[in-house]
Amino acid sequence: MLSANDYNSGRKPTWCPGCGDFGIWAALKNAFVELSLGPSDMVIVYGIGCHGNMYDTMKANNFEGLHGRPLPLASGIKMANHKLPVFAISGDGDAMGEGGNHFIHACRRNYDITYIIHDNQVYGLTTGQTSPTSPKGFKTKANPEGSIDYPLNPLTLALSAGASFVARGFAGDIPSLTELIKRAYNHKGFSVLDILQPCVTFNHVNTYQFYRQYGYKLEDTYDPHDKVKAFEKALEWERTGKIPIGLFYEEEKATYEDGMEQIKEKALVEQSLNPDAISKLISEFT
Amino acid sequence: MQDLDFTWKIGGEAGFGIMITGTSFAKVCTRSGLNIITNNEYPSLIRGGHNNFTVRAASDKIYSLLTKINLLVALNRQTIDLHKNELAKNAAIIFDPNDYQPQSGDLSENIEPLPLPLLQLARDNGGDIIMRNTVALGASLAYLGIDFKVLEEVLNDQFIHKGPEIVAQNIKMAKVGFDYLANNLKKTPLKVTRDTKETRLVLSGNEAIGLGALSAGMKFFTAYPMTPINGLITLMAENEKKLGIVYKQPEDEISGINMAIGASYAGVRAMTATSGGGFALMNEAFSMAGMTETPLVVVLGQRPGPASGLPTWTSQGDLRYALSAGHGEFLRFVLTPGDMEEAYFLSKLAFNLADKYQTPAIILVDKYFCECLFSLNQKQLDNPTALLKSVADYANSIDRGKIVNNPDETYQRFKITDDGISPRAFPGHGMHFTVNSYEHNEAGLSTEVASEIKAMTDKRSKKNELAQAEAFGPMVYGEEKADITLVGWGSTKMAVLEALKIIKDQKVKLKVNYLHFLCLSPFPGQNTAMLLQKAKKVIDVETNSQAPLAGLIREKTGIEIKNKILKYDGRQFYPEEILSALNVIEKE
Repeated sequence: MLSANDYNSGRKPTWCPGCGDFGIWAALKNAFVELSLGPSDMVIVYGIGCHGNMYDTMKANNFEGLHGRPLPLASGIKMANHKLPVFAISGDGDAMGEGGNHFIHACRRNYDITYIIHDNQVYGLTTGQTSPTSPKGFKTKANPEGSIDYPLNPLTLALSAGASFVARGFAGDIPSLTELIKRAYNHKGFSVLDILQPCVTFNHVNTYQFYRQYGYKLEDTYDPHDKVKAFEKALEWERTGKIPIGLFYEEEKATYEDGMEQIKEKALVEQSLNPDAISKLISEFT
Repeated sequence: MQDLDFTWKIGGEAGFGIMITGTSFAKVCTRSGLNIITNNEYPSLIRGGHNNFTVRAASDKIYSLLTKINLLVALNRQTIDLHKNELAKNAAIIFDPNDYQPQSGDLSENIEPLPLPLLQLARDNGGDIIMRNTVALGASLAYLGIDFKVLEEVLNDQFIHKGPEIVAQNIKMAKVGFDYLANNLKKTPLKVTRDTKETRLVLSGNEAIGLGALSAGMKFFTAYPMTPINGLITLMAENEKKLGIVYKQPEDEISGINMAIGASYAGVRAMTATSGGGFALMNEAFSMAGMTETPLVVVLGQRPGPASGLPTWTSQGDLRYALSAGHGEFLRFVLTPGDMEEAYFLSKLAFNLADKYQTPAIILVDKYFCECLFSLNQKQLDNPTALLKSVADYANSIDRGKIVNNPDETYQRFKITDDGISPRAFPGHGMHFTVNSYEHNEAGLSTEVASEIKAMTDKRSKKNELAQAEAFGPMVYGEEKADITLVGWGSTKMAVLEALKIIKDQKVKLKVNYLHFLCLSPFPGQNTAMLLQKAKKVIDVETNSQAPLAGLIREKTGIEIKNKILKYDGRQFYPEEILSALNVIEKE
């Protein structure tokens, strides 16, 4: 039997006491246990940022890549060995700033990858600058007078780009987040899980108290199969100030790997070279 | 068969099938037993603008194009204006008299005009304006006295995927042109009789590299479309299902290289391809391949820069860039093939070196090389020329380097070893492990401890020392003892060897040889120094303005090369240009 401790590398986390990343780490480990995914059974790809420092504490097949690039790396791994469960973990700067282009294309291609975004609306690792999801007027070292940018909404972006699973989680509610991670993993296709992650050091607006006051769980009666309703729900925070948390949208559709005839029978990594086919191809060049 | 050495050029507006006609002409020549070399010139647009395609065909072995044309096919007036100065003595021009009537003084007297009502012939036979090229193709081959059956076969292979009606229509158009010219030609055509003793492949640089990669077992290829590597995309995309490989078009080059690194980490041989601007985007991940010790092959097709530069023209301006791309210090291989045989074997070699040393390898080529066609005896891919033999022998055996299958709990991805190479494992096969773009300890966990940083840097640096043994070349062509020694790299080889052949044929006293560099990182320093110390007068020949090879030679050997022949107008060298520059330098 696996336990959450089986995913501890022995290194202590480097996050600030109270950081939302602790909650996400705990929920991920719980989800792995409940999904029976051992440390050697999957690959986790990380970007650069506070979230990314999880690779040091998490015991698993880890690939700590470049800032903004976990999705291309993860999709290369998936295409080469689609039998491996692949998780990609980003921060908001990683996912929406440096990696914004990769994000929309991963959504539209629908790789079977679980994408976890640690969304703290601020750059933590570089000690507090504005991020693409920072609210307008947000004051940081980069915008001492307050940001004049409007924030990006990762959920509406994911919906419009074609992601087949779009959810919002909260780092302060580990049991619910565990369930959402499991659902995201069990969804066949690209699952986007944007997690509200309080940054206790650099974000004094979006705090635990703030989310507890304005956040609410999506009602049981909410049907996550209607894209138009999902857009409405995803816009609710900016329209009303209330913050719905849970699964906004889920759709069954063919994944990118489903469309790859070459890997129907065997993963690419399991296929060997066919010298006869190559010799035949060469002789076509006459 | 009589000795034949013939240059044909077709020109016209972009969008009128110049490229396909040129390729067909080249294939008819090779299937008739001739050797060919081609070049295509085109602006960066789809319709309008001037395109041209040149084929040199000869019964002897040839290395490069020559500047003079024997038969020019002008699909428009502009082609005559732009290329009439390239016509050889007694050359002929095929043109449509309804487009253009030569005025006195337009063409010199010894030029034979071959008026051919291209459009009218096409229309009279159920074709339209876009079939003029095929009419002209048939006429060109009548001029050469080629058996029409060969053209029929080529057209069939070329168009069969579009259906038998399209094949029949093309053959009909070609026949109309063929017959018209044959009936109106005042002199006897040249006679090319079919000689099929050897099977000739017609390969572009892209195709030679791609076929090398495929035979090396490359399974995963990414490339964002960019001239001049689009031919690689076509090759891989057309064959991916048949061969069980993956071509993925990424959203940008950054994604492309990261995908390839991901696939390589997962366990398959992976390659990406681009040109200068795309490679700039790839640099951060290129450096990550060095840091994470992930094998990767990158094809870098140079074109003139800086910035967007000249997208459809050629240059060797990115040598220093390839040698130093990516932040931080790490080993990379830079291989610079100079012909299709080298491209095929060096491509295979790149995968072995990348795997063995767990680091990126660049195949550095240029637009001219990527897109020109070159005929090659198919047997050469099994029995390479003597100079290339030892490289090809190693390239032919797949060496995936140190790999642990199913590692246990003691496995450390970045274990410090005597040679600096740590056994590699693949995720999902045995114990989990961590790969890290941050500086790391043997287990892959990040470190900022001074002793660990130094140990890991030393580990990676050891690979540099070890890799030095892989350096090869320069290859010596021509006389061992020479009055003049030319040095160059990559595609320059083709024009230089042709120049050497001309010098030899002229039976002049001057003895010239050539040092061809095809592995520039690691640099073959000792061999270079030894050869250059023996040389009397050395001239550096490069298709760029800053002579980076001469700089590299000086850096590695201390030998300064003062004489340089440099070309940087977007065009490749012609042998005649090298010869005339050589004459100037020789007299100095």
